[in-house]
Amino acid sequence: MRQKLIWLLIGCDALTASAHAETIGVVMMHGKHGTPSQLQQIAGSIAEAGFAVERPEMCWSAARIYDRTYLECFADIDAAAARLKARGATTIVVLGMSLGGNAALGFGARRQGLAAIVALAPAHAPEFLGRRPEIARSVAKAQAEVAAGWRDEKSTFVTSMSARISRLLPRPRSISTSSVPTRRQ
Amino acid sequence: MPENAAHLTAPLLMVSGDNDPTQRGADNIFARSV
Repeated sequence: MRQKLIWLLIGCDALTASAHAETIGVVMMHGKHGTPSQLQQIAGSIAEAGFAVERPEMCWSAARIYDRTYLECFADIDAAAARLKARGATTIVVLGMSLGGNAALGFGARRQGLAAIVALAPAHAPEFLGRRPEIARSVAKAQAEVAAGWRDEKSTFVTSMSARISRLLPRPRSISTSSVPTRRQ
Repeated sequence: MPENAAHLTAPLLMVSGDNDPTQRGADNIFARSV
């Protein structure tokens, strides 16, 4: 990964050598259950190259733990971009790692005028996770509860992590579950 | 992710592993961005 990051930085330098680096702002998004500090090293390198950097704490951080929906989280990216523009940035690059990389793709698909999208090890694809029977059952259960008007009640679902753990156990007798409170939309 | 990649209007730089089960379909995602 380190070698890839080095090549990434070299690539960024090469691509922007003729650009006005001081006008480009970079919004950097950490991974699932992470923090902005995950990107401190690469953020420092990008800042040294002359780019303005913002590293918002996204709603999938360890502290916020999904306090908004995926699409609502994009408001945090918009806010970070606005801060960069207030600092003089005229165009925005969004960069994310892991789930942040996933969000960089999602945000880029819904916003015009971005200078570039950088996805570092983008991950967590519901297209694949939803095919697991235990997760598909949980998704159907959640959808039914939402449709039935559940809002602040608690319910229990199989998550991707618990499903993976259950597969690793020598003799799984039951699927591990975790409680996920529903929230009012 | 592939569907989102297909709707990008900005250049995409993607760094992805080839032996990580959480990064499945990287080739497809990148191909869809073209």
